[in-house]
Amino acid sequence: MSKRASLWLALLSLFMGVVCCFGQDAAVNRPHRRGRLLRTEVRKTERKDGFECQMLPAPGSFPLLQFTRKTLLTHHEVQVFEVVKEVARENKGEGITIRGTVDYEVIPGEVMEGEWTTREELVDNGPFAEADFEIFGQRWRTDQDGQIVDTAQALLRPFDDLRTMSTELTITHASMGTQKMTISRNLLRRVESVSADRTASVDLLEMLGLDFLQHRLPGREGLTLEVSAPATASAGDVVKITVTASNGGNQQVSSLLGRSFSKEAWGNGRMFYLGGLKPGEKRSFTRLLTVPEDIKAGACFITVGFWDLLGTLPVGQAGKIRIDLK
Amino acid sequence: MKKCKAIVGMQRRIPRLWLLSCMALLLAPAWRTWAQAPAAAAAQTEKDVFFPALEEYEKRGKVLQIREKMLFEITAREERVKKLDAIAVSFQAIRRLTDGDQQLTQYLQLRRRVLEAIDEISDANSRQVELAAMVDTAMTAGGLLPQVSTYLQDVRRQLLDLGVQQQTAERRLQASHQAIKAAIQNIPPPAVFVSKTGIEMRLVGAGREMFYVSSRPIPGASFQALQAVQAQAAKNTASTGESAPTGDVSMAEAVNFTRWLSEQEGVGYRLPEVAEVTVLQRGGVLPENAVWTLTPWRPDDDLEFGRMCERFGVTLYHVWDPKRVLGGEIFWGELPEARYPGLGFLVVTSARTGWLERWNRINAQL
Repeated sequence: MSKRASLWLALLSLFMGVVCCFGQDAAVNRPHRRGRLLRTEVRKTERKDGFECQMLPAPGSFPLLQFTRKTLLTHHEVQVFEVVKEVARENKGEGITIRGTVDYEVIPGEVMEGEWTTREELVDNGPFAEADFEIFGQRWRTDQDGQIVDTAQALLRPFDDLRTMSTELTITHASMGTQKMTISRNLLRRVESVSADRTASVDLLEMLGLDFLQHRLPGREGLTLEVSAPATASAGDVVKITVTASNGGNQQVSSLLGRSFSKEAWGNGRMFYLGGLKPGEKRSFTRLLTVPEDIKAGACFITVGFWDLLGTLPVGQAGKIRIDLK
Repeated sequence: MKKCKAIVGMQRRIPRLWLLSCMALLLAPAWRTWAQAPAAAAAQTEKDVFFPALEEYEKRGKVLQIREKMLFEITAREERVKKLDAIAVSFQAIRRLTDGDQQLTQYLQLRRRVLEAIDEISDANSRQVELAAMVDTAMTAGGLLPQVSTYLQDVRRQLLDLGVQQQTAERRLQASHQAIKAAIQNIPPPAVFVSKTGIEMRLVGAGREMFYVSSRPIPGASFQALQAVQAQAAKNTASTGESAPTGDVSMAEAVNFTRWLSEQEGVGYRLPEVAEVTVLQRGGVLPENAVWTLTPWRPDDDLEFGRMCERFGVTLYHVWDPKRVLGGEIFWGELPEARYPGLGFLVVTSARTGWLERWNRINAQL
C-alpha cells in the first residue's frame, strides 16, 4: 500500500473512531441506579437449638435453676431495591431548567439486590424439661418444669471459702453445647447508687432472698441462735444442720453469718447465711452434710460459730453439736 | 484531953468498947509522929557512919562476880568454837549426800544450829557488855589492890578480844547461813512426789525445761471426786457426764479440774502445752490415752482456717495421741467440747511445786 493510501486509511480510521464514540454516547442509556428499598428477602435460615439457664429467686437454702429451650435462628437476608435510571429533565414550560439536571425514572419490572446481611433471632421454646446437664462434673436432671433445685447445695460449696467473691458455672448439654454463668456472693453489700453499673452476674444471696445490705446502727441485743442437728447418723447419710436466728430485740441485725468447724472434713467449713433481721424477724438456714461411706463409728463434734457486722458473736452451748455415727 | 473528958462524960450513953476505939483513932496520928521521930534521927546518924571492912567485903564480892562471869565467858567461847567447827564439818558432809530429802533435812537442822549459834553470840555480847560495865564500875570505885586493878584491866582486854572474836564468828555464821540457804535452793526437786489429792507427779525435762507431769492420765477417781464436789456445791445430783476411768473428758472439764486442783493444792496445775508434750515424747513418757493440750491448733498449710477461727470465735486445740489410739495422727486438732473414751488429760506443774512439797513435808516433820 502506498504512503498516501496508508495515510488516508489512518485518517479514515480516526474519523470512524470519533464518530463511533460520539455515536455510542448518544445511543447508550443513562446509568441505572438503586432506588427505594422494596423488601428484604430471607434467602437462607440456619437453625441451632440450644438452651438457657437462669437462677431464679428462691427464698430458703437451696438455689433454683431454670432451664429453657432456645433456638437460635440465623437469617441470611438480602435487600431488594427498585432500579431507577437517570433521564434528562425536560423543560415543560414550568420555569427554567438548568442544563444537565437529571431525574430518576423507575424501570418497571427491574430490581436490584443489595448486600447480604445476617440476623439472629433467639426463640424461646419453653421449659427444658426432663433433660440432663453436666454441672461441676456431675449429672443434673431438670424436672417437668425445666427446673433444678440444688438440693445438694453444690452451688453453695465454692462460696464456703470466704475469699471467693464469684464463680463461673459451666453448664453443658450433650448436644446443645455449653453455657457459662457467673454467680457472685456479696456479703457486704452497700446501697447502690442509681448510676452504679450492675455486673452481669447473678448474686446468690439475693436469689436466696437474703438481705446482706450493711445497715447503719445494727444491734444484736435480743438475738437468739439455735442450731439443730440429728443426734445420730450412719455412713453415707445426709445430715441436715439448721441454724435459726430470732431477733427479739428492737434493733436491726445486720449481715449475720455462721460457719461450721469440725475435726471431720465433711462437717468443717460450711457457711450459713442469715443476713439482716428486722426486730421480731426469724430466719433459718440449712446445710446438708454428707457423711462419708468409709467413716468409723463414734462421736463427731461440730461447732457453729457466728459473726455479724459488729464482729464475733458469743454463742456458748447453742452452737455445739454432737452426732453419734453408727 | 478536953476531947477525952467530953467523951468520958458521955460514958453512960456509949458502950465501953466503942469508947476505946474512938480513943485509939484519935490518938493514932500523935502516936505515928512520936514513932517516926527517933527513926529519922537514927537515919541522920547512919550517914555519918563508915564501915571499911564492909566496903572491902563488897568490893571483893564484885570482883569475884566479875571473875566468875569471865570464866563463864571463856568456857562459852570454847564451846562456841567447837560448835563452829562442827558446823563447817557438817556442811561439807551434807554436800556429799545424794538423797534430796536427806540433804534438805540435814541442811534445815544445820541451819537451826547456825541460828542458835548466832543467838548465843548475841547473848554473849549482851552479857559481856554488862560485864564490862561491872568492870568499869569496879575500877572507878577506887581503893583496889594493885593486883586486883591489874586483873580488872586484863579482864577488860579479854572482853575486847572476845568481842572481836565473836564478831568474826558471827560473820562466819552469817556466811554459813547464806551458804546453807543457797545449798537448799540448789537441791534438785524430787523425781517423784504425790500431791495432796493423791496424784503422782513425775519430774521430766532438764535444766530450765524441767516440770512435773502426772505419771498417767488423771484417774477417774480424782476426776469424779471433783464432780462429786461440784454436784454437791450446785445441789445437782446428776453428774456432768459419764467418765471412763482415764478418758471421755472434754477439754472444758479438764480445765475445770485443773482449776479445782490448783485450789486444793495451793499451787498452779494446768494442762500441758505442745512444747511440754514434745519433751515427754523425747523422753519416752508416753501415756496410754490421747490427751488434751492447751495449745490452739491450726493446720500448717491453711492460714485461712486460722483467720476463720478468729473471725467466728472458735478454737480447736491440739490433742496428743502418741499411741494413735483415736486416729492416724500423733497431733491433731479437736473442738474443746469433744469427748471420746480414749481421750483424757494429764496435768503439769512447775518444778518448784515438787521442791515446795518436799520443803513443807520435811519442815513439818522437823
